[in-house]
Amino acid sequence: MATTTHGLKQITLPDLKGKVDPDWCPGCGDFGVLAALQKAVVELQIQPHHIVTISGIGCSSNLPGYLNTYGMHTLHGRALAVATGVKLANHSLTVVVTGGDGDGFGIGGNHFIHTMRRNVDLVYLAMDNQIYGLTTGQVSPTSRIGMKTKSTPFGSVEGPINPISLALAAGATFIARGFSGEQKHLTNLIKQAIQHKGFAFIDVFSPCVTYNHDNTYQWFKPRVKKLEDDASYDAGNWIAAMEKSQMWGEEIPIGKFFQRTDIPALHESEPILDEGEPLAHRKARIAPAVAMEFIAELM
Amino acid sequence: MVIDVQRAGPSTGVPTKTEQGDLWQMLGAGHGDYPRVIAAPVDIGDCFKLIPEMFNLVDKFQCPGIVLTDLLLSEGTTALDPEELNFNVEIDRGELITSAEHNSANGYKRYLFTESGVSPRAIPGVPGHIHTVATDEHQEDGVLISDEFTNPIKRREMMEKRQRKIAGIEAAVRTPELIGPPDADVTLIGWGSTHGVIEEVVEMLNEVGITANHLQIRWIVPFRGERILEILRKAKHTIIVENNYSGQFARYLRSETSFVPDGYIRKYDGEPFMPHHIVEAVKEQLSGRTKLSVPMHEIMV
Repeated sequence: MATTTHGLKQITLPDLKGKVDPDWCPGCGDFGVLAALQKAVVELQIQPHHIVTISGIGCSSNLPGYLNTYGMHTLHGRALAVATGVKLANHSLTVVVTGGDGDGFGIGGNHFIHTMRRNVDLVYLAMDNQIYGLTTGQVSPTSRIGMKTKSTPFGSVEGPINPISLALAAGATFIARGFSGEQKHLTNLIKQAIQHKGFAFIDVFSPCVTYNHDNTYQWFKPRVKKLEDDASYDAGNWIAAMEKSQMWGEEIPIGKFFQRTDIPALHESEPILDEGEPLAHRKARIAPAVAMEFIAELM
Repeated sequence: MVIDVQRAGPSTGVPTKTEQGDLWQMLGAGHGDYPRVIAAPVDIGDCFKLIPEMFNLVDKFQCPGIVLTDLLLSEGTTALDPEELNFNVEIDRGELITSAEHNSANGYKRYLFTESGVSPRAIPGVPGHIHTVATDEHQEDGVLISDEFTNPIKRREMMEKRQRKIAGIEAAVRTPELIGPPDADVTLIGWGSTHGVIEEVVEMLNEVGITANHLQIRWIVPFRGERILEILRKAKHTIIVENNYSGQFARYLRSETSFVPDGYIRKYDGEPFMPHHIVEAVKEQLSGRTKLSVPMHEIMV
């Protein structure tokens, strides 16, 4: 009945529709991730202009153009670095980063580790399809050993990265895994990630129906098991999370692996941001006393 | 804004020593053909002045700016009158939209075609101005034209829009000026950090009866080629002084103006020029013994 929330217009799904329709292949897992993100925003009633969606390069990195929020389609692997800047410049915004496994764990691997270590208050949705799709199917950092791709005609000889274990080791404070084929579950994870104060990482299985014939919907469906279905699983237990993260094969856990809320986010520990408005709205000036102090030091 | 502190390369090279060897790297940094601003501060005090100037330019014209300095300045020391350190500089962020007062109810175009080539920039969080910033080529509203929707006509318009900024940037920077008497025996041309040493060389040459003047280039891009050519055409004997092996600035000057100087003084041993190095080189060049001098740096124990 209410048409407004906190004096602002109520947000519905059409409000989040971007200027153009996705050019993803029919059946691409990324459609499910986009839909889940839109549903999460509607359920949380966040105004679209308060959200910035930031991506790198790749099929999944085209997502900001398909969503009506502020967006930045940046350079390959650099989305997290740009997003860190956006969050520090205006920490009142909700910042969501989207991209693929190649963009995030390959080209952007270094940024991934350090953004987690810094606990930047971002939501990072990695659409993991275990292949470089936009470039028409080359081996990626999450491709399995033996996987035949255009760049590995005899099968990959490199072991894949384990994004969940890596995130646990690097100090991310919210770590989850979703599956594009599990809409409600994924929407719920994204909602929790947005509400989490700190770095929230969701590795989302988002099958590439064109170039990855190993890790298909049919392959994932019988394997994924929700952590939430196990009442004894405690997402506050780091060691249990690390053990679960090692599971792969007949059973692959999805859901919230780990969360801790006792570590401040980067913008909460930065003394410059302690008082006053976000940086973007401040008139930054060096106070005369500070200038005098600086000159005195050199005299 | 990028600050490049040049050191002696290649690779790690001589990392604790100075050189002016990155000029062409900065001219060509990044792929594609797009406007940028490059300035080489002429002394340590100038580094302080240039930074706010560069910040204003890059914000106003929405393009990258490069401060091309070197180790001589970055790790050097100098005496400065505190009066020269202005902490209350003008801040001009250009056409920035920070509140919904400019509400255009979602008709906002981040890359609006304008005569200046600069489109008003809304920062995230402002109602009614939602858009996606794109590194792919795009239309005025930010929608990509790089993949499926490639559009050669729009691409051409976008290229021309970006390049139109150059006229504005050119008008915003100071033109180079000749220091000293226009009819001097020798004109010394330098760029960036060699300003101080050349200034001293001019005095020393005057003392031994050689009149000299001095053209120091601070703005590399935009490069005011016509003005520089106007100055150099009137010069009697021109020598380019620079801290590298291949004469990167000489090549740049020639590429922009077709001007070929009478001689070159270069040094690439990791150490900056000392005044007597240049004085001796000028003397040997004026006597016609050589066109290229590479002063030997004395080893001091």
